[in-house]
Amino acid sequence: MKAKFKLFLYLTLLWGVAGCSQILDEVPVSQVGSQYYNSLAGFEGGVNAVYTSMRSYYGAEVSTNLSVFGTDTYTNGSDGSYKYMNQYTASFGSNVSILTNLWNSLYSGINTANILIDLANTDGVTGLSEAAKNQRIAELKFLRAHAYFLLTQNWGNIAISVNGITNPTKDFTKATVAEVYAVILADLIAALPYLPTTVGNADYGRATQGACEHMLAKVYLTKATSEAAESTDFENAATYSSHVINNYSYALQSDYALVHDQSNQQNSEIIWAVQYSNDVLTNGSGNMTHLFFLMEYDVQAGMIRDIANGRPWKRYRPTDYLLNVIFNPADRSKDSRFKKSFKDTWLSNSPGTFTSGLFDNTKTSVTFASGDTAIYIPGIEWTVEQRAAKKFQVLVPSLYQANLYPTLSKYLDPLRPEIGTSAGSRDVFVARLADTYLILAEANIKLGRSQQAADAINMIRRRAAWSGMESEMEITASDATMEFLMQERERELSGELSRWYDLKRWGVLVSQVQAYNPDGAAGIQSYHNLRPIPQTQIDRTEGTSTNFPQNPGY
Amino acid sequence: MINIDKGDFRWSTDIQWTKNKEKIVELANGKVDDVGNSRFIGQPITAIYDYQKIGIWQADEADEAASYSRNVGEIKVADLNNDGKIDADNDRTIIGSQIPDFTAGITNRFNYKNFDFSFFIFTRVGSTIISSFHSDFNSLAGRYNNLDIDYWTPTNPTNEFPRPNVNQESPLNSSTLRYFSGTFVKVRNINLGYNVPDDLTQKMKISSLRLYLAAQQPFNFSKYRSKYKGIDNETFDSIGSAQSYATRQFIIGANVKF
Repeated sequence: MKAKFKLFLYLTLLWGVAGCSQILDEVPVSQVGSQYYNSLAGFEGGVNAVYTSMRSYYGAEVSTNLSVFGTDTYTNGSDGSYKYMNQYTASFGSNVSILTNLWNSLYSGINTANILIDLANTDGVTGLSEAAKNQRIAELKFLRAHAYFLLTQNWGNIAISVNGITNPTKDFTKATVAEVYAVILADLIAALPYLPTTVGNADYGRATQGACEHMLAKVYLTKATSEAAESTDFENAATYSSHVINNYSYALQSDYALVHDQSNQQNSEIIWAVQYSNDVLTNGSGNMTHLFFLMEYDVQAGMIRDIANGRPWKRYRPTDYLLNVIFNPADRSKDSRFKKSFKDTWLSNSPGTFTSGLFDNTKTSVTFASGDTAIYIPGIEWTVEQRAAKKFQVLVPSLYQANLYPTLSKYLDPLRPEIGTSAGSRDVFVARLADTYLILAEANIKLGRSQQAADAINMIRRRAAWSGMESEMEITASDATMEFLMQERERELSGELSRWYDLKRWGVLVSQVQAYNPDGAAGIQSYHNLRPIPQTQIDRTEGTSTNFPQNPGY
Repeated sequence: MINIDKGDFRWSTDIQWTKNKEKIVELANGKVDDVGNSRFIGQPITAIYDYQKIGIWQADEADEAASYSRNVGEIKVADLNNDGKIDADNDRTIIGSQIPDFTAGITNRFNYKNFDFSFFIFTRVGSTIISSFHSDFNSLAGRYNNLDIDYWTPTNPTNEFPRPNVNQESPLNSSTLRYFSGTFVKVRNINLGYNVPDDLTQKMKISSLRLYLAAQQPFNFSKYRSKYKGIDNETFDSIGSAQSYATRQFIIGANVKF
């Protein structure tokens, strides 16, 4: 018995030893080591990954929450988790998950860019030609600058690093806004000569000289009213924006409606866009913006939810100021942009007779055949008699409510495969030529050159005119004031991820929200010009809040 | 432990009691708390660090609530350093950890002639669990199904859960609503058996026959269940929204040997 046991023990031990050597031989094939960056394919993949980091903002709910919410032109609709970002209540603090995720994703993208730049600069990539190296470094600097620009506009003083971090560290300190702008501008100016003027179809979406100059103009314009302002900023903004207009082949689309036509996404007006596609393998979470601006059409008489009309998440509701002042009803016969920015008609896709749940209180019953108009938004008040005379429900301004309002149509995505698909395929336009004209106009107004400002504004206003109304849309030099431009920007760019940053740049965020955002007016204070720093960043920094203090007020 | 052993009757009891002590003595960078990773010197590795809910702001506290940017009916968290504001630096504290004060069990066995009866009671006292189940099903937004809990209204000035609000999909400081006591008392099983006498089994031409009734986990006592509508707080770390149900099993059996 004892001998048998010993034999068993030896055999077990032997088997164990034999097993061990096999385990040591294992090669993990499912992970990519950092050496992969040293190969050409790995390096190119890394550059693409930095482009992908832009998707953590553009196309995600956080981008519209940070730019559309809490402004004078949109307030919260009936649904959504982030109404406090519009209402500026105490819930808007350091534990907002989407801000933490954005912060982490942008810094992760920045660090990948840093590592790749370090690697390319030390000729650590096998087979990378000198020209390709210079172009890729320029692209990475462009993207890094873009990430820092987003970060500093939202958070002010932030941590900067331009060298790759490859080991865990807790040593971070805040740089001043001026230091952050110095890094951004150094990157963009260094990148500019090495970027291509145009890219081929296969490379569409890569940074170009035009995109870089547009961004330089935007950065200088923003810096000009920041705490880092210098006297040359407006002049620089004017210079770079006129370069974009004059030195490249960008051109405004002939019709405003064409700009956001989903079949015309790579159009002559687009300077730089963050790419999405209908390939589910590479589309990630997709461009989700199509969900957020829609009103609750799908429970109304004669309507059910379908792909063409979209999946209404009812997040962003236009304010009266947007609908009645910026898109003044008196100007709508000249200016086509209200009609072309908002959906006003829903055609019945669920025919029948309906007697209950009607919002239009001038009728007790409606009957629709398939394709009949079920809902119409005239955009102005109608009399009870006018409404009663129509067979369909008429949604007049006095009936607007948190789930029923004019619906921004720029992001509608009828090419989604299913009703419930949230991952849209539209590109997100980060820079388009109309914005460049408005940057030029703003800089020229600030520089006292009213005529040049009016000329730039007239370029987009003529394009925005209904046919034959071009001359009536034009403004004169005396009209070219900041007050006019503040409205004109929103007429052109409503919902296009710009307004909050605009208001902050103009120093009117608090006053405009107090005046025109009924849900945000009570909560907003001057400290809301900056966002709360994620608590995880503070907790994970050496010295925590002593070294990395929260922004004041939060 | 045999309590009684007298003639046909026998009663025995087993008792077990366990206590596990755990604390972090030192971290990689010395005897310094690592807030970012929730590692605190002198605390268990699973320490929970957050604001401390001390109730709900009541109607007569409206002014004080406003000074903290809170409204009546919202969660009241402790201002630990009394500086008049709630901030992450000074007002977060150790809420608890997964380490219980003790666990204990008691088994009683009774035998009388051919009958036997036993039951096992198990308890855990003093741990804190994180119930994501409550984060997901207690959002108090009015848009989703909600656990039937005691929430604040002007006519129900409770200190348990805040006022429902259609404009938010989770209440302010909602993370503090996830922490529950991990204490429970469970009757793990009850068994009642009868061994059929040998003379009868011989007639049936079998070697033995035992008839029994058994109940597995028939009783489960915890505040988490009774008051907060949770399912089962016997978990090590956190309870997710996909928690499976705590089952109760009753068995009527016959054990026949040939």
